[in-house]
Amino acid sequence: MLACAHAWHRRGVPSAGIAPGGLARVGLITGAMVGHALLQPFVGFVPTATLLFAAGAAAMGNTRTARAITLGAAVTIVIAAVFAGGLGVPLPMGAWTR
Amino acid sequence: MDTLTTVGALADGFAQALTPANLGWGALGVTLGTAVGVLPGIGPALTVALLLPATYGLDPTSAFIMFAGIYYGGMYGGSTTSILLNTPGESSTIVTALEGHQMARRGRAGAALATAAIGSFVAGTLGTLLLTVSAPLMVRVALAFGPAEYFWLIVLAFIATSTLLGDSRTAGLLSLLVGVVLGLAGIDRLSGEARLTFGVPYLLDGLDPTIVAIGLFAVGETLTLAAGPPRGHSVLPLERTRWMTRDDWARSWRPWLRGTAIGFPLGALPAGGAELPTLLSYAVEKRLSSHPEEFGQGAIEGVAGPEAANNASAAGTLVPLLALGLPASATAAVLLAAFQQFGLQAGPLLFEREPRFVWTLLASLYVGNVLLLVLNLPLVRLWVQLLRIPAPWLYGGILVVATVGAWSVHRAAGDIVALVAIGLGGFVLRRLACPLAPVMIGFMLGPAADMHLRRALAVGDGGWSALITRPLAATLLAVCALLLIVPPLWQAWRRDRGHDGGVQGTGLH
Repeated sequence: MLACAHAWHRRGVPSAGIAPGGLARVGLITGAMVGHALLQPFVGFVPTATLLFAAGAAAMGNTRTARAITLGAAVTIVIAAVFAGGLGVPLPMGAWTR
Repeated sequence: MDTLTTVGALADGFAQALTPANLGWGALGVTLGTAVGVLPGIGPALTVALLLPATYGLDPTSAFIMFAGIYYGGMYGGSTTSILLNTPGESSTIVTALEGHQMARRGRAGAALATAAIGSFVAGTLGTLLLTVSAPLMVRVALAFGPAEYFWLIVLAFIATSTLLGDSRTAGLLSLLVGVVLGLAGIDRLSGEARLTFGVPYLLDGLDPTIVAIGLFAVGETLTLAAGPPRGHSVLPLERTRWMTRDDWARSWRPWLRGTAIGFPLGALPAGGAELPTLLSYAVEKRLSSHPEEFGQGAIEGVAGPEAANNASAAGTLVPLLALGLPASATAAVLLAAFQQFGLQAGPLLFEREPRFVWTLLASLYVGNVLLLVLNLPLVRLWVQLLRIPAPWLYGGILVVATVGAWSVHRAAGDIVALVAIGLGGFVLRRLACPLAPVMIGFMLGPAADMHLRRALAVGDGGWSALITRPLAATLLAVCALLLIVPPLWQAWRRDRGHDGGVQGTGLH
């Protein structure tokens, strides 16, 4: 605890270097990841990962949501194919596919 | 192991590494490692952590052949980014960015990339040769170690990595403490009691190294970038660039060899990887160069030496990792996690129990180096295209791959939640300017330190004297004490003499 306090004191408050809205963007990514974790067993990897991609892109400054969702869907389908098909790591396809 | 046996074992390793399947895995590893390593802001530790789950479906030998390629590819990819984008993915490529980017601005990007690639090849190959010779010797020494010696060796690694990395010893020790606490969380194997779980059932089984590595390096980095102000970057063009001239060759070959000589031994020390060797190599080249006025303006020696030192230290890092099970850098700690993932125990017994695996891995390092050279220079324009991927797409994709990595560990939603929590922890540590390498090293070595301490105490019937009665253990304790005491005294002495208070860190962790 002493070390923590000392490091905090020496380095300044942790908000230093955070841009306006920065913590909201951190919250967006965190929420999207937790949502992805909880929903993907039911909804499936591709839809939730697409939304995660779009949320991550928005947090990094993207403003074109439709394009992010389209690209996100393409990227997640490729990732699912590589991991599930090529590398033998099964990903949840969603309750509705059963 | 005599020379003949070593050569025979290595030849057998080459026979394994050169099978079409393993050659393919090596080529895939080099390609993936370079492709991910070349992305802005992504260092080798993050590259290896992110690609670790991609090897789950493979047998250990093929997986580590792919890893060797990823490791070296990630190292080289970072230098391309430093030269063309001036965005070093980690502190060890800062010097490359300093001189290489200046060369690129003057239209000599091709020469900078070529001397980096060939220097990496030369240093990587010589470093692997030194690794092949020194690792079995180190194993012989390590077999004489008892629990007390191992305990002090790990404490030495703790002190070295937390006090030599970053700007502040306190911040380094704080990072180490966080890592050790994370590593010790779970059910104690000896007593069967839960410790440091804070009533969270998920923590009873302990945290998985893959999740910790991906959370700290991938999610933490993404959160840090998202919280900060937007950063623009421009890639310098490669068109009409020339590769190395005769003069460039003449000015590069000595720095390659000197960089190797500096990088390998320093990389093998448990002191945090390539930052120190690259800076030292740069200082040496600046002093020995016949063109010192070019340093800071794009001196080729300032790229050739540090790049060689960087890659030689990567080979050096594998000596304590393979022979002692001690990771000397964040990337090595992630590699140690990969060993655990495949049920392999890195350390002296690995050479006895899995000789074919070890020698195939060493042979694949040679092969990987050749593949790296063959792939990198001709394909450099392809890698440059990767630098143009906009940050939103890049980090959106990284988040998706990171969650796939966490999911693939136990196929449980809790792993992704843990990934987020660790990522947030990494974000806070970055904001506190705490280095992340000690977290990973503390996480990986904390349980081992605990185990060896208990064994040493058991050997001494519970008496603490068992930790210092053996000469080697006492020597290691003395080295630990010196490492803790001497640097602050040295800094105080320099302050009193009117110097600026010591080496400033890089700010990159």
